[in-house]
Amino acid sequence: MRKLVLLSFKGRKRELRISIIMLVLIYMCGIMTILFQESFYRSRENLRRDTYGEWMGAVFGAGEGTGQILKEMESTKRIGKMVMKGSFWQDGKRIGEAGFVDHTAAALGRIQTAEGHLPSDGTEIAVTETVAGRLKEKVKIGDKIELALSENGEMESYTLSGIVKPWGREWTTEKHELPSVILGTDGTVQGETYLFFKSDSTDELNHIQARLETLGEGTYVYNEKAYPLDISVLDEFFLEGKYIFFIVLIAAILICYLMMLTLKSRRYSLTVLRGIGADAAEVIQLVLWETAFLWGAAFLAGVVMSAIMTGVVLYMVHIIVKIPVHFTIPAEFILEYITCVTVIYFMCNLAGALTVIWSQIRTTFKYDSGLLEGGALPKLTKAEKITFFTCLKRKWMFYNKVHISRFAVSTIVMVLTAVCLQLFIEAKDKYEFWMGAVEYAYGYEADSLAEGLTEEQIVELERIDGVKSVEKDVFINSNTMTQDMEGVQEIKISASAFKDSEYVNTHRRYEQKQRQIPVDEEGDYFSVLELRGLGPQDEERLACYERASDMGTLDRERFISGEECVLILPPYQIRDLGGGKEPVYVNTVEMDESRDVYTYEADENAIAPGDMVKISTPWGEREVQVGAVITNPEADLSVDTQVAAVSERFVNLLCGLEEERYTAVKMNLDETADTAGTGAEIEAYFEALGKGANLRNHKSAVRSFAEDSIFDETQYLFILTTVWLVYMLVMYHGNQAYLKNEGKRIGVLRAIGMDRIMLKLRYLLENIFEGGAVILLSIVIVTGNFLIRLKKNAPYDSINILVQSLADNPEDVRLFLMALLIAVTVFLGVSIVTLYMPLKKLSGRSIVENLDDGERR
Amino acid sequence: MGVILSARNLQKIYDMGEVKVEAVKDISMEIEKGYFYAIIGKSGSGKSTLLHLLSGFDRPTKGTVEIGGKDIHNMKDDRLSAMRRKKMGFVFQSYNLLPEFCVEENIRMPLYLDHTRSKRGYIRNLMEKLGIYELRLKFPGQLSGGEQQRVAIARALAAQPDIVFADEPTGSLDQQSGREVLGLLKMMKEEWEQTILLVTHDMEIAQTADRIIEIQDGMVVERGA
Repeated sequence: MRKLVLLSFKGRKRELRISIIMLVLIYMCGIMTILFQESFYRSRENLRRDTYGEWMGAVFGAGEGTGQILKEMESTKRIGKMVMKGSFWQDGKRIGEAGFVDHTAAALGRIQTAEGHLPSDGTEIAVTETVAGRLKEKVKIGDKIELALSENGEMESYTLSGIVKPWGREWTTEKHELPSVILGTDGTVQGETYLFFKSDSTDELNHIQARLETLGEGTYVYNEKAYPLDISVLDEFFLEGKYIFFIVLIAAILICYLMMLTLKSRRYSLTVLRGIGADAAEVIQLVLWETAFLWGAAFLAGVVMSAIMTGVVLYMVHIIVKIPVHFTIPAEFILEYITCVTVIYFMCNLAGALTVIWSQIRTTFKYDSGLLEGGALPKLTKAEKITFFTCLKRKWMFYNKVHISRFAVSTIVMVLTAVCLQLFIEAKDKYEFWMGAVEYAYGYEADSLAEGLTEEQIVELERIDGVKSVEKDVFINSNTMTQDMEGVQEIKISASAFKDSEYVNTHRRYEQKQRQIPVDEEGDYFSVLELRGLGPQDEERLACYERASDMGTLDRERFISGEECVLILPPYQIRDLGGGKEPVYVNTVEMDESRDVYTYEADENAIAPGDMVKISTPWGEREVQVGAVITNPEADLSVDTQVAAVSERFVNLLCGLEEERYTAVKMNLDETADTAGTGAEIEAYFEALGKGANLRNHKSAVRSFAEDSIFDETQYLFILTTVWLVYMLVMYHGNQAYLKNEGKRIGVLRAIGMDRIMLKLRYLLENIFEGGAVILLSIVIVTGNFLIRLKKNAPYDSINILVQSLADNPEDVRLFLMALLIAVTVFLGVSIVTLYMPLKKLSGRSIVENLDDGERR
Repeated sequence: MGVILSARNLQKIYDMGEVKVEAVKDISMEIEKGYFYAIIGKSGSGKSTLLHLLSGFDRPTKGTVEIGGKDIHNMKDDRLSAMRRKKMGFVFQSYNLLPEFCVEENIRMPLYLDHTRSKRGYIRNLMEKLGIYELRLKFPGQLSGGEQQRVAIARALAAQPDIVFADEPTGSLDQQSGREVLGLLKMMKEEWEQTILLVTHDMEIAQTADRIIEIQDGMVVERGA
């Protein structure tokens, strides 16, 4: 039987080549998808955990009860402990926070030593690089360091065992300091205990949180940055092997397709074998031997080539885009895939053999019913005239399966391409944006105005070597700055004249609804989320207010000193721009004709320059005179429109602060200087102030965004490449098989007098119609997807707003159109290569060759 | 009767890689208008190749074929195609009907391609004579072999061509159907004075023709009445 199989192979070289290439590609694409996905997914996971720690949850300020609960949890595998001991001092200067970190916590928190090792006993300490720079003398590993646990406490001597890299800065939120001086023992001094843990199950984490809340001990924090809850659709889809089903499904479709390509000729030869006396067992044996030979060759080539190709591509990704991708081999997934594909392949072949065994042995094969075999003939309406459209319609009626499958495959690929391209271009733009936004800067944002930096502190920061400039801002926010306060907190701008104003009442109602706080139907005030102070440096905004005020004039001096404010009351409409309906200021161009416009009427509301308004906040209240009012709908208020514009001084006075403070401070570093050294000094300065937790390094934060984007970019590119590779293959072989059937038709048409040009034109038109329909349908689907995604990112609640939103964001439209254009171009390119080339070959052959091709089928 | 087709020194060599097969060897002949010719020969003798060369289906390695005084192998494709539509008809062993068109549409196809119409009632008359009028709305897949071949003959005669080429038209049919098809071809020839060039390996069929051309190893060995 083996000999017979080998002989049969000799006579079917072309068919075998197709089968082996297809099978190799099926193995290769599948295995490469698994290897890529797993390598990308794990690399991305490692990067996140390198940056944000491996711990999944943490309890800051934990007690014994917490430890007990965590130990009881089956899914909680590792629990690390950290005990804070207070600040370490040296010669009256605060050096850093001391704390004991056990090995598990050190591993979960990813503490890395720059030199030496972590302390192993109570006589040793390890310090961060920042702390090392703050010590009075330069130290090296093994040196003795004298430190005290209070400002005037008794000094104790420790041996420096190691210097650790800055750690945990990215996740020290919630005002919880982490140790910068690491002790080797828990010691006798009791301190606040932090427990870090890693769990296998995110479901159980919710349970832990609920139990800890009941216990009322410490603050529970989930490490969302390392284990993001809001993962992309793509990540979710590919998460933990769920995609195996998907790629096996694609492989199964391709195998069925492969079978369809070869089944006709196989059925013929197997039927002939049956006809000359082969029994069922012999036919099955023959098919199994053949399958085994083909499978063996394809399997070996597929596995070897996929491993080599993945290695090469990952190396290129590493070299070109410089992201740390590690080659991960998920053996169980690959084994699952190989097993499934192998079983499907053998089953399909076996099924093919069984259909021959079960079917009647026929000695003649009707050529023209080949494609119709088993199906009923369509109902005929005789054509009065045979036009191009009649021919097209008849072909669609007769060969609908072929056309529908081609149509469906092309549409799916077009849609996938356009969507992936759009996501790819978005990710690419995002990457370029973040890389462009990588700035050498530090930012500080205070939790309240009282914790803001003083003018004197800002001057000190400006003096640090390598600090190019310091930007400062004053604002109070009734949402982010009131988390420690009980009850609902609002910033109100009130005046008795506002009481019956529809403009004010509607504005307040929707602001309160949007913030999900109780709605006051009868108030005499505006409710605003934030109050931002302006200083003399905000020239552009002050000039804008001066230009736009249509009642009264802005007295800059009185405004800056906090005696005057500007009321900004242009027309608004209620719109849903995400997170509920809210007032949106509009000018005549942006007005949506279908909606109500709320306009401030001076007579009705009776507030005018010179009147007093009261501004009440959770931190204090103060009256201020109205200097100017802006009601002009054409005012250029593109910069931070609020109900009331006040000065920095006013905000400070409102909060009862005599000395001015700044809530947001940004330190821009000189990129040409020693940014690491400058950064260390800034960090040390803020840590010494006890405000280190609110300091952010813009560069590292931005870089992690950029790295996330490039992972997305590479993944979409990979999906695109795989989809197109498979599509090219499917279309090429599909069209070859289709045109092989068409060879006979071409021969007949040529024989009865159709010339070559007409013939080509006819096929070209047919495909233009089919391609046009594919493109149209794809455009509809892709546009729908675009609008749905747009609604998710930038909600719109009417067509007018959608149109306006698109006009305001031409970049989104450009990306969408660009993706669509590329998809259409590639589709046309593939169509030309896979359809036109074989057609050209067929129409170039003689009539006899084409007719004979049909006879030989 | 004048000469409708003349062939001069026709030669066809097939290049099969290492081997070259000379299927037609220096054949010259003249076909007179209004006669029924039978080209006879054993399997592999080159008779079908000769028919393909004479009808312009295939290009000769050497030699010329003239129909109506024009060398068909030196014609541009559009001119040759037009000639096929107007002056030639073809009947194949395997019928070669277009499966998605009904009987009548298949018959009218050469006229559609030529953007012309037949004489009033001609196609109906043709279908009635060939006994397929009742089948005119059926698809080829719904017909028997004999019926399909009648449709193929009707298609070949639809444009009232000067010459009809028939390549083993009875080859796929049973004896009874074969005889009927042959009778129809002769009847058509009598009715419309067409020239018929038929290829067969069956001497009994050949003997019904007006003239017989015997081919052996790519050469004409005998011409007879």
